[in-house]
Amino acid sequence: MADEKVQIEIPYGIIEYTATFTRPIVQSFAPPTSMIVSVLDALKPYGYTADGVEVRSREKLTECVVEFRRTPPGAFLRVGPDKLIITAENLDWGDKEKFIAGMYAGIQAVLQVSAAEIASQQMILAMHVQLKNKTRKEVTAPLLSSVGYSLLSGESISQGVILIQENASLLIDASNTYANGLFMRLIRKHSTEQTLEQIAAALYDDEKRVLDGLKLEGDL
Amino acid sequence: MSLARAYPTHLEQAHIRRVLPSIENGITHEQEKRPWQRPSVKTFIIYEQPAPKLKNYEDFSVLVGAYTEAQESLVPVRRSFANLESTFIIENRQSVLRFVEHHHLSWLLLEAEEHLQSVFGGPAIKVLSLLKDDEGVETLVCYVKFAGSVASGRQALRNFDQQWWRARFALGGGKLNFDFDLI
Repeated sequence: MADEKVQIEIPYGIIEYTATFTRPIVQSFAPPTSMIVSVLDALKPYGYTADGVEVRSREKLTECVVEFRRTPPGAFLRVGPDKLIITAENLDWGDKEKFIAGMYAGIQAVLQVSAAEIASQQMILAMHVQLKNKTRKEVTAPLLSSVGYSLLSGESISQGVILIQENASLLIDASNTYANGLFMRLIRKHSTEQTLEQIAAALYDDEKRVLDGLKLEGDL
Repeated sequence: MSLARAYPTHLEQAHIRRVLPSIENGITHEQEKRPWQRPSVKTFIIYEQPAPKLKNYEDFSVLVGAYTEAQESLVPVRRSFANLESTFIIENRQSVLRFVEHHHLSWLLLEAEEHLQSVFGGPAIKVLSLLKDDEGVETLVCYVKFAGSVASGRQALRNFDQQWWRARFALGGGKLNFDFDLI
């Protein structure tokens, strides 16, 4: 019974991929017409239309952005002069292939039309994990040593952890949104040589490692 | 309760403003503008946790009309449901929330929470689940996950009935019930 896994549900999760450019693609924003046309052509098979395009000009160059929102919603690609960001909510690992294909198409369209090169890549996963048959206090109890518990007088009702490595970090905290939930955030930076498939594989491994470490089980 | 909610913001530690868009230790300058992404130990306690965007109830029908069936996974959540989400584990979220909305049970469930906690002895996992009988009639049941014995669970439920639920049962329209489940 001690090794019995805790059943979980992930009611909300969001991933964010960020790629910075070696130099700003300023020329692509003056105006961004060519970039919008190229990216929309590339992303049309993945549910992106002109209805979901928004151009925001700001006084600060790096805050100018062209945003492509997918319909149905839940995913968008944002291109700025110094970076592009792809965000998606509530993805299933079963959708991985199609989502990566869409990401690749969007990124390639931006790089080609802007003659840009990627300087760095980073992936973030943030999710709320709801525990079905054990309290979060019990599940997170092993995260803290006796010294940690002694730092505050009184009984704890929840505990968490932050791990920071050179290229990655992990945060586990009580969820503010879901009853008996944990909030987890995984961040990992990747070299420019790594492909989206490799980045996705690393994210899957990280996520599984965290859930296995806490003896959690559910649909990812 | 997460420390992030409780920590006073005026005690935030100053951070160095970065000029170049570099990634160092997983922190880009872009992340510093988004409180929820800050991974630094020094500031983690002052961050937001991303959560589903809440939509107004009035938008519900517009959303249903605008989206295809494949998009029903996007659950329009009324603002009052945020309190339900943070109080109860909800099975079959869409169906349960629609049932709660249709039968106006949200406020009754939230009121019940305090009384359930007092009879079952402190914070406990509470699960909302829809049950359908042989005739297809649905009832929403709130199960309290209880770590005691069957006898003490029954006694706690009796106390809950006598102290609070019996006087309010009719307000649920016969659509809500409470029970416990041993863990």
